[in-house]
Parts: sequence; structure tokens; C-alpha cells
Amino acid sequence: MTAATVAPPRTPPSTSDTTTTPRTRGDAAPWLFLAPFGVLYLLFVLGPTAYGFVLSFFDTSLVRPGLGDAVGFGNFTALLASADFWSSLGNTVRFTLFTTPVLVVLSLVLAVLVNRVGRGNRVFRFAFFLPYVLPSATVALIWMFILTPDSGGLATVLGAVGVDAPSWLGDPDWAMQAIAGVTLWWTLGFNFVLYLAALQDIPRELYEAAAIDGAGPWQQTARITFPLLHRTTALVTALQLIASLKVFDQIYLMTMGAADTRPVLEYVYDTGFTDYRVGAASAASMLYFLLILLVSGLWLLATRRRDREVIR
Amino acid sequence: MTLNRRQALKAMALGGTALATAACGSPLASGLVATPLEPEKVAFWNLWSGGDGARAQQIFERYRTARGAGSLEATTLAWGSPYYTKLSLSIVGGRPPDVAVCHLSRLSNFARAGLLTELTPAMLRGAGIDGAQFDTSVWRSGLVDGRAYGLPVDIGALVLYYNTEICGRAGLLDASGRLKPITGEATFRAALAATREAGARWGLVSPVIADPSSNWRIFDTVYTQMGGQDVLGDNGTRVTMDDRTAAESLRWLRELTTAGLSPDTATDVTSVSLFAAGQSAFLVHGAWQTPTIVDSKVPFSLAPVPQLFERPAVFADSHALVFPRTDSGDGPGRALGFAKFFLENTDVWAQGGSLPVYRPVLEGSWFRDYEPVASTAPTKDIAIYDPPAWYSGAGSTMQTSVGAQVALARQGLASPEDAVRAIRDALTGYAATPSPL
Repeated sequence: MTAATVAPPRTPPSTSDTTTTPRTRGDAAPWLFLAPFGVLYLLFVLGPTAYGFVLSFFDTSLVRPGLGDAVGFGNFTALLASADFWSSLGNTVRFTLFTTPVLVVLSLVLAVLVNRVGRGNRVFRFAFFLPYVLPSATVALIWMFILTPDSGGLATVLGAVGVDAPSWLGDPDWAMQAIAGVTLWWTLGFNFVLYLAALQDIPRELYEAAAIDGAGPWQQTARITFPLLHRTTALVTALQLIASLKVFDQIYLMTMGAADTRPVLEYVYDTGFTDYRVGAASAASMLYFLLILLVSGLWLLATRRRDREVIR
Repeated sequence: MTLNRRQALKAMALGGTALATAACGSPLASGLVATPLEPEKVAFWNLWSGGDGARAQQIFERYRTARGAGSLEATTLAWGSPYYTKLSLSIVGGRPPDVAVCHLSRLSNFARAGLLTELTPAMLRGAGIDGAQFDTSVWRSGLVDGRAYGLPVDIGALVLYYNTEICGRAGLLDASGRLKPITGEATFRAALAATREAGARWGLVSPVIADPSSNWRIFDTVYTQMGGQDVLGDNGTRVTMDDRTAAESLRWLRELTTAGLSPDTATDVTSVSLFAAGQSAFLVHGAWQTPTIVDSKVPFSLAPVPQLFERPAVFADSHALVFPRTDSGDGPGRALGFAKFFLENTDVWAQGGSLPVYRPVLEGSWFRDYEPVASTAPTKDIAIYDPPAWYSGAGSTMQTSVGAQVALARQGLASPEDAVRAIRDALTGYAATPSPL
């Protein structure tokens, strides 16, 4: 059963087709259908990426015509020596470490719990997913009210029980944690829904059989639910990792990058658009692109290997 | 089935063409073919999202009353670097507004980047505008290599707001109900302590959290008053900050909190609301917060930021009206007419707290009698602007990176020396970067 669900779909052996006319039409058709997407992808993803790659070797300015002067690897060496770049990279990594594990584990726990709820299941599903539909600006506004030092909601509540609240968004010891907390509340619903869907895919008979064999609820969860959610966990973790590494909106809106929270993407934005240094910004995004590629590649390799082990 | 689908596709294609034809003159179509949307209309971008925005709206209404309801499209964008980023991109992208607000501290960078239309003497004459109509020093600081690129509107400085009721109880007012002059930091701290004894929760509030620009303004004022020279020299290619004085000024600011005179938790908004709620005797903030405080009905008045140390100085900046470069090469034409109208109506603007610099208004009897704003007029002569650099100016990288460290020092999260070291490191990095202008 396990093997069946995780085995890659087998491609049917290619049979030589004798009818020629439908065959050529059949060859062209997929490409035609792909063409609109292909054109857009080329125009808005591959093209700009290639352009960005070229720009990263020039001192291109936003407000000067043309590419500017070629500087070789100058942008990259300056970047590697820049404390600002490294600290922004550190901030993004910190945010990822604060958010990814919690968002994966907590959404799994909540999904398993909600899946067990008979009545009121819908209420919980709705409640956990609701924040996810809010735009980042709304989330930032709500939480900036709550996190306002002294007079904000959280400070008032903590004050009532005698706790002196820190300045959540102003104190570097707290700002990133506060933003990670907000992100947790905001985006948990997405992972939660993925897990819930996967849970509902697990056949009931397995639990019945296990129950007959004398497995208790905890054993059922540990031996059936978690192993069968393995693929979803791999997917959720990969998506979450990429989403966390791409963090920008909520930080930009809530602290503008102050208090040691500026993520690497805001560094790129600030350098390229605010400081007009498009060449340097391109170099930074190229470096970061490579880094994300590396992380996703490693993750893919790791999960592939585990897949194979499961099949064996 | 196939036929049906073909028909459907054909119908859709026809419909699309029809839509496109019908859309001529719509924003979409004019955006696509780059024709002016409505040649009669002046598009104006500003960053007046604070209390001063309400006064700007009144001037816009006057203009619409005079020139027709559709004569002006005013857009207010978020203050600071988001605004300047959008403005630059709109000009580079060839879709700028006809006229926009630009801080004087940003103007020379915009002009040097070739983003602005030069206002030639002929153009100004044609619109009935003359440099002599403006406060001389402000007009001069708006010139770039002797050429005019913008029309200054005001001087917006840090000012001292005081609660007249609390200060009265603390014995800080003179017979006419105005704040007795405060000179020297000891006197100032004694005054703050007196207001606390008179029942105020805080002596002084000012923004500390999530507001790097305010932190920069306050730091720059105290630092310069202590005798510190410009933090940047040679157009920003050298860091000329006097580290000892800088650390000294941060230590002094921090002591206001440790002495219990001033909170280190206020933001831009809460500092104003604490003062407006009568919880603090003084507020140091930009003059542009005046309308918000007027609306709160708290009894207050304005005074210049007192001279606390050896040298009188206070941070200031000015708004100017600028005319983005256009590819067509047309002059600003109608937009210049709007600018003239705005300047003539800066009496309304002055109610927003900033000092007008258009002489007919500044020297008019109405303004001279307009308390409390007129009482901050001496600020004009001790105003300090940002040092020139490609990364300085309102909401700039310099303000943000310095302000962030100032905020840490004021909260006691970094020692003054560490904060100054971090400021120097950040600025040194920028000073070494070739200007992209």
C-alpha cells in the first residue's frame, strides 16, 4: 500500500504508432497548448533572469541610461565584503529558522487534532484558515496595533498581570520573533489545509485494521498517520522553506527593516530601487538565487533518497 | 462541438477588439499608447499623509473650485523612501506626475540624476514667479549649481510643543501665558522634572520606536548643538562625524529616560497621542504634527527647540514643488500655474504647522499674527539640513541607518559608543560606494 502511494507513475512503454497524420498533429498540439505559458515564462521569468545576470557584472544605475561600465566581479566582491548584505542574509535565515519548523509541526498537529473532531470540524477549519486570506498590509496593520508598546493590546494585557512588555518591534532581541509570531498566525492555515487534505486521503480501513490488531490512538497516529503523511510533509516543508526565504512584505510593513530585521530581499529592493544601484542589486539577487537553488536542490535530494528507502 | 468552440473563440476575439476600440480615452488605453490622460488635468503627487495632509486637501479644494472639479488629481503616497522610490521609478518609466513634492534635502540628488525639469528664468517669468518672492536662504539652498529645479513651500523643523495647562501649574509660563525661554540642558531637565511634580506622567515625549527619521532629526539637533560638525563631508564621500560628541549626545538622550523624564517606548503616532491626551508636558516632533494636536483639543502652544548646549541649531527640511522630466520636452505649463496657486495659498498650509517661505504670505499681517506657528519663526535662522550625499535626505538610507542605531542607544539596547561605531561603519560603507547619480 505504502509503495503504491509513493511509487512514481510508470510511463507506459512507447508503442510505435502506425497512423502518421494524427501522430504529427498529436506532437504539435502539446506545444501549442504550452505556447502561451511558454511565451509569458520567457518574457517575465527567463528573460529578466538573464538580464539580471548580465546586469550583475555592470555598475548599472537606475537613473543613468544604458548598462554603465563593466565591473567584472566587482559587485560580487563588494557584496561579500558588505556587512549589510551578510546581516540581511542572517536575518532571513533567522526568520526561516523561527518560522519553518514551527509552521510545519504546528500545522500538522492542528490538522491531526481537527481531523479527529467530529462535530464543529468546519468551524475549526474555517478559523485556522481565515487569517491566510488577509493581505499582508492588513495583517501588518492589525499586529502593529496589537504590538504597540505601552498602549497596544498585548502590552495592556501583559500589564494587567504585572508583566512589563518589551517594545516588540523596536527591540532587536524581540522584533524578529514578533514578526515570526505574526507570520505563524497569518500563514499557518495554508499548511494546515494541505495536511488536512492529505489526512482525508488516508483510507479508514487502515485504522480499522489497526484497531482490530489492538493499536491504540497514539500508535495509530504514530504508525499510520505520520508515515502516510511523509510526502505531504516533504512538500509542505519545501514550500514553507521557500516562502520563508522569500520573506519581504510583513517585515517591510512592520519595521521597514529596522531593529535587525531587514531580510535579504529588502536589501535587494533598497539597493536597486531606493539607492538606484541596479547592478549591485542584481548581483545580490543572483547570489541569493544560487543559495535558494542550493537549498531546494539539497532538500530534493534528501527527500528523494528517503522516498527510495520507503519503497524498498 | 469543434464548430461551437471556434465560434466561441471568434466571438471572444471580436469582443476583445470591440473592447479595445471602446476603451480609447480610458486610463488603460491611454496608458498603452501613452497619450496624456486628460490634458486639462494636473497630476500632483505628495507624501503628506500626516496631519499636514488635511491642510493640503483644503488647498486642493480651493484649486478645484477655481479651475473646475476635474482640474487636479492629487495622490498621497506613503512618506519617505517608499515615496521617493515610486517618484524616481515613475520618472524613469516615463509616466511621472506633472508636479510633485520633493524635500529640499532630496532635490539636488533628483536634479543631478536628471529626473527634474530645470525651471529657466523665462519659464518662471511666464508663470509670474520670481526667486525674490521666496525667503532668500531657502531659495538659495534649493538651487543646484545656480539653477532652479523646484519652488520651496515651507520650512518644517523640529519644534517644542508644550501643554499650557501643565506648564502653567509647573510655573514655566510668563505673565502672557507663553513658555519662558529655556536655555541650557540643566534648565531644560529642571523644567521637565517640574512638570512631573505638577502631575504630568512624562516631562517629554518624542518618537523612539520604528521611526528612524525622527531619531535622526533629534540626534542631529542635539549633536550639532553640542558642537558636532556635519556627519558627512565632501558630498558624502567622507565620514566626518565627531565620534566623541556623537556618543555624548546619545548618552544625554538616554539619560532623559533613565532619569524617568521621557519614555523610550513611543512611536511616531503614540508620541503625538500621549501628548494629545495630556500625559506629557512637552513633545519634540516635527511642526507638521500641529493639526493633529489642534484637533485633540489639548491646550498647547509651540516654541522653538531650546538651545541646550553651546550652539543654537535645530533640524529642518523644506518641501518644494518639482516638475519631473518629461520625454516630450514640454515645459511644466499648467503645472506651474498650480504651483503658483499652491504658494499663494500657503497661509492655509501654515496652519499645518510649517513656516511658509513665500514672502507675500510669510510677511503678510495674517501670518505674523498667527500663533502658535509664528512663534517658531526664529527656527528659520538656526535650521540645519541633511549634509549633501547621494544617500542622504528625507527618509534616506543615511537617515535610516543612523536613526536605527540612535533608537537602540535611546532604548539602552546599545551603548552610545557601540551605536556610534555602528553608525560609522554603516556610513563608511556608503561613503566608499561610488554615487549612482
